Amino acid sequence: MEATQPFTILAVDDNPVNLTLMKMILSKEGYRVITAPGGPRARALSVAEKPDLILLDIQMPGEDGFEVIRFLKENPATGGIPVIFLTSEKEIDSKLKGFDLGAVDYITKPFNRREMLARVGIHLKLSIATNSLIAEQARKLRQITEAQNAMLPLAEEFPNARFGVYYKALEEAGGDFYDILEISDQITGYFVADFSGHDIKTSYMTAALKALLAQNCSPVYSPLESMKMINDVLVEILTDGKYLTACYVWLNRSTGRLRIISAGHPPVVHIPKGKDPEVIRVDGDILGMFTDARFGIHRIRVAPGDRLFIYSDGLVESVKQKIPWATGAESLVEKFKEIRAVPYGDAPVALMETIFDKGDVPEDDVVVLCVEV
Amino acid sequence: MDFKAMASNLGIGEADFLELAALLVVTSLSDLAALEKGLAQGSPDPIAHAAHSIKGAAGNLGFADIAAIASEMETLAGKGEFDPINARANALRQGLDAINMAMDRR
Repeated sequence: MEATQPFTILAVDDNPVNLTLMKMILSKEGYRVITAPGGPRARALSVAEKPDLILLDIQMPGEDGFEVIRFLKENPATGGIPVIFLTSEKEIDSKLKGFDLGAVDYITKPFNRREMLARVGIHLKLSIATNSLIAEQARKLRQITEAQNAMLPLAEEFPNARFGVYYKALEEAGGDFYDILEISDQITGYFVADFSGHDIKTSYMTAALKALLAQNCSPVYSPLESMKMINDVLVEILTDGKYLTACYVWLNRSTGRLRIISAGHPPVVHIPKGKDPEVIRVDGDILGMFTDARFGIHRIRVAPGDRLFIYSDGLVESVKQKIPWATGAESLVEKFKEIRAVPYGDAPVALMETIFDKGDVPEDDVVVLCVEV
Repeated sequence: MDFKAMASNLGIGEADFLELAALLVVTSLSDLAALEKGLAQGSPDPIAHAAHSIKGAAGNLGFADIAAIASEMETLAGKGEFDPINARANALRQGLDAINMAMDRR
């Protein structure tokens, strides 16, 4: 069996006798012990070595134990390290203050070897259990991300839909969603939505929405009818004031007819082949909030080579710069011109790179769909 | 002074204990110097801190007598009663000497 890495314990005490004694007692039990004679060294070692547990003397000249634990708990890298205070029998107030500041336990001086080992052991065990719980939760969240990503169609899977996509979720459970609907040989639906919120509930809702789209976007329903039926179900299943903005683009490639249905979603950008981009604003109520919602519809004729960009507000909105999407889209017209020569499959990524400098991360989830007629 | 028994109480070897005892003497003499400086200046904080330091270390090694004297000194410093501290400082120094002598005899 491979030898496991020993646990590292940081002992902090201004008296070298206590430090040496703790080191002797703990080393004998197989712990790796590092020592600090005062606050500044303790802080530096905690950050550099990330010990598994800290034994911290309260009364030290200069920076006392309280100041050290305050630093440790405020620092994300060291906040999770269990701290046991070393205190004398009489210091009741100190013990309470220590717990208040986030200590897990205390050991009174004079030390009892077996007591020290027992307390160190139990808090290491608790810490391991907590850490594995956190790791397990993180793993589950990653599974949700994977499941959510698996729901998003890839361009390769729908060659006839002729689209390219950029999708980025800022958190494990993203609030943006898109889907491609092959309604018939000639008719394709493109759906982009943005849920209010990014929590786990949202990710379950995206699964429900995908199922609703599959059920309701069929040749027998007009795009507006599909949207209304989806809305009626969402009103029933969305709770806590949750809603979504959405844009449904319905394209019949054989007739060149295009319908844009908007539910409070940012405008679609239409780039007729060889011409300047035009921003198509369509007013409409949000999805999933009102049973009598009215959605805007816009009908245009398109020709082969025309492009449409459907996106979420993360592309154009900026909380920091206070740009709402209503005005944000207009400022993008020049950016769309810049990427005209890029093949449609790469256009969304190219657009992102044109808008956001490298390292300049969008403030929200972003989905950008480029469709070529 | 039964160093062997004291070492055993701490669950460490006798050689380790002697190392700790020697360290206690050196550290406590240094604390004692700081304490006496505090007495000369009439400032209670350094006295209380030095006494607290000696109390903890001596107590941890099992030198209960020394720890008890240091504890009294800490309390007296807290009350601002400096006069009785002098006598205890001498007693404490004698206690540390006794440890030294016991180690020399080995």
